[in-house]
Amino acid sequence: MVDNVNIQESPPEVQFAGVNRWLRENLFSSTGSAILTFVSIGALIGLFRSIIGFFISPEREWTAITYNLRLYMVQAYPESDFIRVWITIGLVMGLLGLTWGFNSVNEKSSLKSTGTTLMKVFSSLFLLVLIAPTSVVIDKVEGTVVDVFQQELRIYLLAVLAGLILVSYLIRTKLASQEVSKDYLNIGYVGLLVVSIWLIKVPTVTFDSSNVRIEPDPLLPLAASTKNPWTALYLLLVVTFFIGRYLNSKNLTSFKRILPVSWLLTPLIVVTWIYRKPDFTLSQITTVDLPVILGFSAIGYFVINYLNSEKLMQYQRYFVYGSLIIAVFVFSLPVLRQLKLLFFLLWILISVAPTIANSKESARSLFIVWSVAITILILLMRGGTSETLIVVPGSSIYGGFALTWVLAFFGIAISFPFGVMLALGRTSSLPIIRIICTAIIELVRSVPFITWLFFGSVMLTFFLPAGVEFDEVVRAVVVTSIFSAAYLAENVRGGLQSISKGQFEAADAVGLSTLQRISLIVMPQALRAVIPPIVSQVISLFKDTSLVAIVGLFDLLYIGSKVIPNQSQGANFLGTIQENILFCAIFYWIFTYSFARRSMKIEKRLGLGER
Amino acid sequence: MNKKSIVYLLVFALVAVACATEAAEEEVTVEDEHDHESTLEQVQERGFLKCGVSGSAVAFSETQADGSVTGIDADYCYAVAAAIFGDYSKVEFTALTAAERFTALSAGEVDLLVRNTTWTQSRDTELGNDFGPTTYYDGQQLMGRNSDGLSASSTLKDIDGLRVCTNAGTTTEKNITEGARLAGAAIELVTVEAFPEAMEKFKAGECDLVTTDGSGLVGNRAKEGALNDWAIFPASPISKEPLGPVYRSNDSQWADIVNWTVYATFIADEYGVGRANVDSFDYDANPEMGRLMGKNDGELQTVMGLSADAFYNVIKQVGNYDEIYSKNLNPVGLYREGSANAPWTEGGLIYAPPAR
Repeated sequence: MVDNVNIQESPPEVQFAGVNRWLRENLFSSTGSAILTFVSIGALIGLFRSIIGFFISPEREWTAITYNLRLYMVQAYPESDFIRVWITIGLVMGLLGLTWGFNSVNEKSSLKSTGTTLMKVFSSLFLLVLIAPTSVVIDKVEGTVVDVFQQELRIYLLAVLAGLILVSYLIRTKLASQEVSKDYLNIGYVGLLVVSIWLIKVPTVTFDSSNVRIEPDPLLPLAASTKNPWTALYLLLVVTFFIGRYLNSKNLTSFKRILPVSWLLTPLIVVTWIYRKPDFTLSQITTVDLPVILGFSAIGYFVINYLNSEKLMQYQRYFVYGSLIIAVFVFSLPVLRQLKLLFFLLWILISVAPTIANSKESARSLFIVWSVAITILILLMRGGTSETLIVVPGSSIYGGFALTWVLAFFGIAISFPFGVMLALGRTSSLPIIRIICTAIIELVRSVPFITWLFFGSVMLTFFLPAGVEFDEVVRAVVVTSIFSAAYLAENVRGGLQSISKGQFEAADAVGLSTLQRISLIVMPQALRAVIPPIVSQVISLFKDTSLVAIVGLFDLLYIGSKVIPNQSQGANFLGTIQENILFCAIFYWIFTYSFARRSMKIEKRLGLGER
Repeated sequence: MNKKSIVYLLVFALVAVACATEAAEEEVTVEDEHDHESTLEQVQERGFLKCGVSGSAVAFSETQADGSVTGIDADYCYAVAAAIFGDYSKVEFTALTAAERFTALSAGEVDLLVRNTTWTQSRDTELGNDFGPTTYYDGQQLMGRNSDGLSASSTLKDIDGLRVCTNAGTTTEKNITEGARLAGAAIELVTVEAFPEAMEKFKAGECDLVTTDGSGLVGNRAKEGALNDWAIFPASPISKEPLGPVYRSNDSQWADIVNWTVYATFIADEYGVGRANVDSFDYDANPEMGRLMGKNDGELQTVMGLSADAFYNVIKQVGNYDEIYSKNLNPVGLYREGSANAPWTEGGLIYAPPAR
């Protein structure tokens, strides 16, 4: 009887025994700890006072950031084409809303926890305002002191915050049993941010009629060119959220597959079509791309449906070798890059089609995947290989955060499959593959990243044939992804080693092919085990993108540390390095911290660390 | 599907791909070897000038909030573009670090390098580069506090017993050590990794003097707003740092174009022809200016492969040397008077051969 009872483990309820007891037990349990408590509180207050003092000191020129935000985000990208940037963000926002709505589990949250969160936030702000210094020293040598924080303002702020704390306390106690959807709560939080951009005033650089800067910088509302797009983007997010939820309620399973694919495709479409403004004519698509797509679809149809017929099956290996030879031959011809790539893809299709397309349905879906994939590929390559119409006075149209983003995204997206393949190759039983993969990993890892960047930037030109030129950004992306792939491969190999031999043997015993064994048994377990190191790798890659500054690309950090502090013309921000570095640090932190939070959620969902 | 339709399908596929290949081959222009093409031809064919700059050097090449590039180096890139295309904006700037600048030039990634580069014998002779006329005469100087009794007229003898901050392992360090020894001054050298650190130490009072190129000191003094508190000396710097454009060796046509674009700004300055009066100037009274601006005879320019009014466009769109200098260097506290950058008629070194 007892065995059938499902005992649910649950921690004992902890009763909150009052502030006094908590203080006594945790902070003042002995004389020593009491002293330690007072000393730490004193040190913390001192630290925060100096940090706040740094921010509100009149020496800080925060306009260096507000005035240069455009440089930070897109460097020299022309204003007339900013709509392309907004479309890019709009695509991401739309996808974000769809994914959010589609995956929404309609989780409820009690207003008690909301009230607690709000109370925590407002209380922290209250404490910060309370301890903020009244005056700061602006010249260390002479010791000049300047008043920065009037007593009236402090009292006013404290009163407002006290009121807010009271309100959140009331929410916490009076409305504690009320439940609201977590999604609506989040929409509300983001909505508050959007409302605040309509309300806040920021220090702005202004010039008089003779182009002389007016000082001190006045506080002005944000420009409409900032407010309007962000408000529209917020509305887009909300609308797509509800669309996503509607689609979820309709149980569209195919949409589940479309979503991740669109997440992968969006950046590609952005960099090849939207951001670059490619220069091509419609006739190029109709006379070149369309026949290629139709032709290769037809060949693909033949390969998928007839290559595994019994008559041709015995010649399969000749088809594989033959198509490889053709692919290599075509590669050496002076034809479009699209064709070179397609012949290699055809070789892969011929190699795998007989195994995958073993039934009518799988043949049909493989054909659809093939046709759609080559159509997208050809169209993307048309955009990517055409000349760009964007003319900028800088070296490339990618700069600032746009460059950081491109490097990080493509670095991760390319290095992941490449790294997994290297890891599999290194653990392979085929000696040649093992040796090649080991050699690549060890060679790449044993040379510093900066050296590789230099190699890509200055040495590659000497190795390539005359006339072949790669964009500086492309070279940086290639170097970044290869470098990160080598490290990722070692992480994945760690995961592979954690899988017991029994799993491999069991997979073999049920008659799975090598491909099936890897994709269904080995990889899901191996990758699950190495999520934390992979996330570390992603975070470190995101930060390492700042190293491209040494090959003359202006990434976010370089703009903050070198470019803006050296502007003597115009608004003159000479020497504003502290403000800019701090801004960059906060910017990087927001992104890396979101990665970390996201990965924690994924780990939780997969039940990692609970075994 | 029967056998017949498979055959049709295959034939169709092959024909489609073949057609596309034919159409595609027209698109792929097999690039000719650029080796026998002169730099001017390459630039003209491309439609814009590729210019290597720093992109983050105060007053030399700065990147502004809208992404545009300004500064004296950038202006000489604009000037060369104006001479070639009649449109100063036909420039694509490439930001280069000090380490990669010469490789980028010799690999053909840039046509012209104007990146506050000091003209030295080894760089001129060993690296396959040639240097154009110097556009800015820089030199190593020291900066100290007025409160220590230092002024613009101080000499190396006055730094006896003081602590000097500089970055380690550079020619800057060598120059100050040798200079102080020659002057008989005993100094305490505090070396740091990079110059900004030296500046921080100086501001914190950990050293009495900092030393680097004069333009860098002036820039830092402007950054800190300490024009009246800090003095830069000695008047004649302790090292020579002539900065100017650099191009690849063995292309004398290109060298002539760059050199004479620079000289044109010098000569226009000498005769007082600037952006404002380039149209109203009396060219009949000054035949040399007339020749240079292509007003009465532009043969000297057409021989170089440029249009007759090439240098007129330079002065009209970018300005003469004085205008370029004042616009970029005056805001950071660098003035021509009394320096090596004054015109030769006023005791400086800015001198151009005659245009005839």
